[in-house]
Order: sequence, then C-alpha cells, then structure tokens
Amino acid sequence: MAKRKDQPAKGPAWRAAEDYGIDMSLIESNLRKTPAERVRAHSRALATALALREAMKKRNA
Amino acid sequence: MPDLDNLIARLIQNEVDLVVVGGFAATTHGVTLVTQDVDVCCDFSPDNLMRLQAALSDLHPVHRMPPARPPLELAPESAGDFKNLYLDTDYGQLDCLSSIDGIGDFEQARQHSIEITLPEGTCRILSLDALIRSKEAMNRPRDREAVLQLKAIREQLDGQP
Repeated sequence: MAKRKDQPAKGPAWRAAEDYGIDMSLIESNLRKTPAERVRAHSRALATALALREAMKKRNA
Repeated sequence: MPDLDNLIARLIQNEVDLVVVGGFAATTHGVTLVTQDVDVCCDFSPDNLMRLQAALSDLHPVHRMPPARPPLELAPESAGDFKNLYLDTDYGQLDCLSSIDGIGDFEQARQHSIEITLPEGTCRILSLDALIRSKEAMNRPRDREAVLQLKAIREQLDGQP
C-alpha cells in the first residue's frame, strides 16, 4: 500500500502488520469507531460474505 | 443466517455472566478479521447455565459436536457436569468455555476484561492485552494474524512510536 508523505511514523508492531500484508487503513477506520459500531460493521461484513458464498453455491449447483 | 449481534444481545438481556473472548472480542477491539461464531468464557455454575439455556430457548440450541446434534437440555442438577458447551443456534454458533488458553478460568478472564456498551446493554469482553496473550497461547495461523493486528492496535492506542 502506498504511504502518503504526511502520514506520521508508525511503530514496529504497526509496520510488522503492514509488512505482513494487512490493510492498515481498515484498522485505522475501525479505531475511529466505537466498539458498538465495530460490532455492527462486522455483522454487515459477515452477512455480505455469507450472501456472496450462497450466491456462488447456487451458481455452481 | 448468523445473527451474532442478536445472539450476544440475548445473553446480555438474560444476564448470563460471561466474558466475550476470541474473534468476536478481537472485532470489538478493531481487528478486521470476520468471524462466524461467538466464543465466551462463562461461569459454569448451574444458575448461570440455566440463564444461558433460557437465553437460547427459542433458538433451537443443539450440541454441535456429536453427530446426532442433541438439543441443549440442561437441568440444574446436571448442568455442573459440563466443562465446555459447543452449541449451534438459529443465530449462529456459540462456544461457551470454562477456561481459556493463556488466561485461565472464568474468574481470571473476568479480572482481565473490560466493559463495553452495546445497544442492548453492557457486556464484558477480554481486554486487549489479555486477548493478545490468549491468541499467542493458541497460536493457530488465524490467531497469529489476529495477534499482529492486536499488537498494532495496542501500539497505536499507546501513541507509539
């Protein structure tokens, strides 16, 4: 992921996760949410993933 | 279709004494991984397990590990026989554990938990540092990725570097 010039320096754990390939912008976005908002966002992501899986199952049936 | 929010809400509304652990706890701390079940460390006293059963009563709870998937039918006199409960419900899978790796039993999990507020009420989840310890102790590939994220979150919250 390209880094913006104005991004503050991050610590070793942050860089390790980034080097592993984790999209850290998603974590930054999560950290701006309250725990309740994170739970809701997770539910929407899970519902979407399961709907897509179901659609693929039907397509392959 | 899993409805993990409402599964948690049921437990809160029925005052089940528990600490949310595992992937769902990681989600509430900001981890991006999606999980399909809820893991809780709970008080395995008969009273608490009966509250758990009441919370799930209309969600067709079954023990999901035995092939026959028998229904959850706890009685106060036999509720104390269980160490863990691996359940499937209409709202999704719920694993109830009497202890967790790297932390210990329910009382220890409770000591290392924080309270969060959800629309349905307050709920205890394993603290960020305890969750890191627990996931490091389990050390499955998925846990290792979660640990990377959790440690980055810890560092960010600490304001490092």
